[in-house]
Order: sequence, then structure tokens, then C-alpha cells
Amino acid sequence: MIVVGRNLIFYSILLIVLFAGCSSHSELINHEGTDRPSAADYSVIYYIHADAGYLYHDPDGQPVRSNSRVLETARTVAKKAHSGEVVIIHQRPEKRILGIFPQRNSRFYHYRNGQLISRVNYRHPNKEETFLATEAQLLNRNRIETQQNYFFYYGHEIPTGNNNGYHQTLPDIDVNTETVVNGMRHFLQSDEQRFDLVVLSTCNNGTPVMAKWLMPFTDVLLASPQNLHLSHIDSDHLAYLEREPEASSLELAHAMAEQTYQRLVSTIQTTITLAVYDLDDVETYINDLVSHIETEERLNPPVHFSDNMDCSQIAPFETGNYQQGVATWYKPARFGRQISGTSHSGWGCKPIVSQ
Amino acid sequence: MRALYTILPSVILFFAVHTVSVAQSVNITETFKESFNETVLKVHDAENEIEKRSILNDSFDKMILAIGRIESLTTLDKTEHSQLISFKNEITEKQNELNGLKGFRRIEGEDLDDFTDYSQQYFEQAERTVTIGLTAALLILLILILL
Repeated sequence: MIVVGRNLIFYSILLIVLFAGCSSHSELINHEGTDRPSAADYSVIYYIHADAGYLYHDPDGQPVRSNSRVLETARTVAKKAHSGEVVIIHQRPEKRILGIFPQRNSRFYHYRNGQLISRVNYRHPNKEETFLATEAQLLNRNRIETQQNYFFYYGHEIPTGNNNGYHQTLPDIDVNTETVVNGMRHFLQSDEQRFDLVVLSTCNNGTPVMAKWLMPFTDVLLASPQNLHLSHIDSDHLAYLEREPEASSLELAHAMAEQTYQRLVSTIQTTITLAVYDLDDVETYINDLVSHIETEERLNPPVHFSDNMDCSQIAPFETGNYQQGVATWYKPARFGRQISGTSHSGWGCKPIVSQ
Repeated sequence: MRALYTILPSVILFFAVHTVSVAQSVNITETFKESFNETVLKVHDAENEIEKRSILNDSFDKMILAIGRIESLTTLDKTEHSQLISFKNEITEKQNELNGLKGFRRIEGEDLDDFTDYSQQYFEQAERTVTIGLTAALLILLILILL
């Protein structure tokens, strides 16, 4: 009788463990429903990708992995956002215990008014889901209306075409310009709502095509048309929203670009390119610019999987054309074959075959 | 109880085999980054130009040799193969620049530290995933450490 009872307890515990492992997320902290204020003036979404090779070494030779420094900065910003809401999504490799039981390795942090109100460990239950579907679901369980909306994307270059394998451990989730843009839209609460600022802290995504895709729901874009060392745009300036709540998103983007450029220029020997796009101004000519480049690409196919060049070198256009609403910060590499040039149009394009 | 003696080892054996099979693949790009970081530290510590240039040339040679071994020992998919070739070309390009070949001006002695940092920043900012078997990965590690 004792043996049967012991077996029953053993198998019950085993079943509980197995079923707990099947759940796609577990909430570790939940401070909902407390007497904290539940209003916020602005909302900031950080998407920090870490499911790929992100190892680099700092100037002291110390390894930095999984975009962990970006995560630290985001959490610091979140704690200081006393009148805002900050959501941090840290997508990490999905692993399995003993190769079988899935772990919830990714992290979802939800701060409101500087307080962490929810922290969730999660995984992606559907290995072929649309990009950012799980994350948007996690946030939409508990949204509040905000006047200003910001989206920060930290990761490797977002490719233009189909790209399975962007997530190393979830290779069947397709990540490209269209899926990323559609994924971002999940975080807006209505068709009328817009992002005041989208920051793409990636290499090679300050392109005419990306601007065109974001334009319907974004006012200002900060991105890199070519290389940006380790893709790290500083976001500390978000504290500006606390000091100057009336500041425009364009001013904020300029301040972030300037701070990032000044930090990088003192230590980085590779190319630095940053651009701020006022998409209201850019809208007046974006279709012309896109078709101008597409005409050139029909004659000379672009080389995908290579770093961008200045579009004006690939499909030459008059200086001053396609510049309205674009501010650039540019420093050519100190070594290598492309060390000349002191200015940049702000638009990045893939090199063509003949180049 | 006898059933338990049979089931338990079977379950352990199953997990052991499964774990080993899952652990068979290694992303080799991190090994290259770690190895080149050692090079950077050595170059910065080296006292003269000849020593710095020699450390850099040895490191580039070893990485090119290791990539050659990966090509001959493993089967890569098309994307990984093109990433590997592109990486080899980048290393060769850096070595040519160091030594003033293929149209480059030779890197001056006082610029060697900055050039080493540039090479590291260039290699580390690129997105690459090259997955190879555990045995081949160990061989690559030996080449990078011991040769």
C-alpha cells in the first residue's frame, strides 16, 4: 500500500513537471491591480534580438554576448521612465533540457511609471508563427492608451527578401522587411495610431524601401544606411521625454544620433553611418527615389548578402535631390578600400554586380 | 520494482544519446572571434612593429588555414558556404592591406594597433552563422590555439 502511494506521488509530480514545461510562458512577477497609477504619457517598445551570433569584445577585450549591454541600458531607461510605459522584449535562443523539454528562455519585461509590473519567461509555441506574434499577445493582455509611441529594434540587418534562419534556433520564422514592419504594427492599438519614432539599430536598413514600408504609420525613422558598428544606437536620451515632454520626436532622434555618433567616432575604425528621416518630408519624393533605384537594379542586379553602399553611387542622382527631410552622420572607415568621401546621401542600397 | 530497473536505465540511455546527438553541431564563428580577440590583446602588448606585424600575419594565416579545413572536412549548406568564403576573402583582404599587396598601401608601424582594432571590429560586426560538427570544431580549435 505504501509502495503504491509512493508511486502515485512520484507520477503525479512527474506529470505536473511535464505539463508545466508545456506552457509557453510563465509569469514570474505580476504587480497588476495594485494602487500604482495606470496612466502613461508615452510607450516605448524595445525589441532586442539575441538568437544569433552577437558575441563581440569591448575595448578591454572582455566578451559581451546576447546584446546584454543593450538590455542593461533598456532596463535603466525603463526605471527612469516615471511617466511612461516601457516594454522590453529580449529574444534569446530557444533551448531544450536534455534535447526534449523546451525551456522558456526569452524574456518580456513590462514597466509602467518606472516600476516593473510584469516579467514573463516565454518561448514560441508555434515554430512557424508570424514575426512578433507571441510578443504582441503578451503585451496586449495589459495595454493602456498612450499619446506617444516609440519602437526600438536592436539586431542584425533586416533582409529585404525572404529570410528563414534569422533566428538561429527558430529558422522557420520568416524575418524580412515586410514581416518586421507588420510585426511592429501589432504593437499599435488602432489603425489611426502611429509611431512617433522608429529606431532600427541594425546595419544597412536606412533604405528607401524600408522608409516606404514604415511611412504609413511612422513619423520619424532613425537608422543606418550602411554599417553601424555592432548596431548600437544609444537610447539613454529617452530620459529627455521626462524633462521635456513637449519635445518633438525629430529632436529626440537628432539627439540620439548625435550621442551615438560622438561615442562611436572616438573608438571605431570601421564606417559609421546614421540617418534621421522625417518621413512627412520624405513622402513627397519616396516613390520617385524607389523607382529610380529599381530602374538601375533592373539593368544591374544588386548583390544581396553584402554591405550597402551610398545609393547615389549606384544610381547617381543630383546632389540635393532626395535630401529633403534627411539628416546624416557619416565617417568613412579609417582602413580598407572605401576610405574616401566625406558625405553621404543618407540612403543605402545594395551594390550592383558590376561593382 | 524489476520494471523500474529496466525502464530507468532505458530512459537515461535515451536522454544521453539524444543529448549527444543534439550537441553535435557547433557555431564556429564564435571560436574565430575569441581567437582573434587573443590576437588583438597580443598585438597591443607587443613592444615593436616587427612583433606586432608577425602576430597579425600568423593569426590571419591560421584563420585561413582553419577555413580551408572546414571546407574540406564538412558539408555546409549553400548560405553557410558563401558566408565562409566571404569571411576567407575578408581575412585575405586584411592581410593584403597589412602587407601592402593588391593595390593597398602597407600599414605603417604606428597604425598597427588601430588597424588591428579595425580588423576585429570588421569581423565582429558581420552577421555569420557557420555550423559544423563537433569533431571538426575541435580540430579548428586546435589549429587556432596550437599552430
